[in-house]
Amino acid sequence: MSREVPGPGEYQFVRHEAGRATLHFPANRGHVATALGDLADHLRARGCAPGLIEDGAIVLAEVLNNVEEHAYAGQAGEPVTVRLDACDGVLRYVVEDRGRRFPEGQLPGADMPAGNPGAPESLPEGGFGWPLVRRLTSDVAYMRDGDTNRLVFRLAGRSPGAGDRTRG
Amino acid sequence: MNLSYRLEDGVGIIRAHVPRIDAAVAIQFKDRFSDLAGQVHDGTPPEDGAAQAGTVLLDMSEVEFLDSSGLGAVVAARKMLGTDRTLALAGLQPAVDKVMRLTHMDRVFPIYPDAAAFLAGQVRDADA
Repeated sequence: MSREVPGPGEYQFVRHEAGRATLHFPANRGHVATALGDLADHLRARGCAPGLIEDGAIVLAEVLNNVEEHAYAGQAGEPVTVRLDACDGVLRYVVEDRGRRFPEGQLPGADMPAGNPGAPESLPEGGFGWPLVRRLTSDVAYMRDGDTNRLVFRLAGRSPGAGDRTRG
Repeated sequence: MNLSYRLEDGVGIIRAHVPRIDAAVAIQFKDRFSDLAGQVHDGTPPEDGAAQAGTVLLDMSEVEFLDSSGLGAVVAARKMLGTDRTLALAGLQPAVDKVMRLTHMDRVFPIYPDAAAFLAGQVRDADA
């Protein structure tokens, strides 16, 4: 079965049956916030827990920023595809782009950057993205398929420190 | 980037009137915060008092979402205040609160439920 990334085009959000949804959009044209909003609306309509929807948005934001800033190095108009499959408290995402591959084909690590709270100048201003992804996903896999980067990740409900919080 | 500044009980309160602080607006956030916090490059504080206050409060109650780039911008804002001043945060919505805790930034920033809670604490400290 072919799962080609479509060519550059307009922002497109399609809901399928059984909780699936697909997004296509051109990179670096300011579509990330819209994409996150559409997927969150989709999950709310499916009755997903607010905490899981938040986690999904946090992770996808980091993944899409990474695609735009690193895989495409800020270049506008290149294709990005997101497929979401939501069922029974589990979110499964597939994100595809045609940009540069991850260095050495490896995903970045999980170590959260740290500084000394008492020494503001030591505080890190970056490097939080991938550790956040690692903390909130139950598994992440990366494949390079021809000229396509494919990232597959799953969130399974209970995020560290946030789990069953009720909203007031 | 719509940030507003007010001085209340001697404390500079900067409120972010934006739904998101993310990669798309991180630089604008830093620039605007820098203007408001009086971190002018020649070291001259502004006349409106922000630079004199020991603590600056960032009221984030309108911010629904913060990504790692936005977080980096808030850390950069903290650094602009140097060691003499502190940046406290108030009004964190659930997704923002989660990012702060997962990145251990709750050890860096004093966090208050809202600006009123922060000000009440300041008054108590002053009376003590």
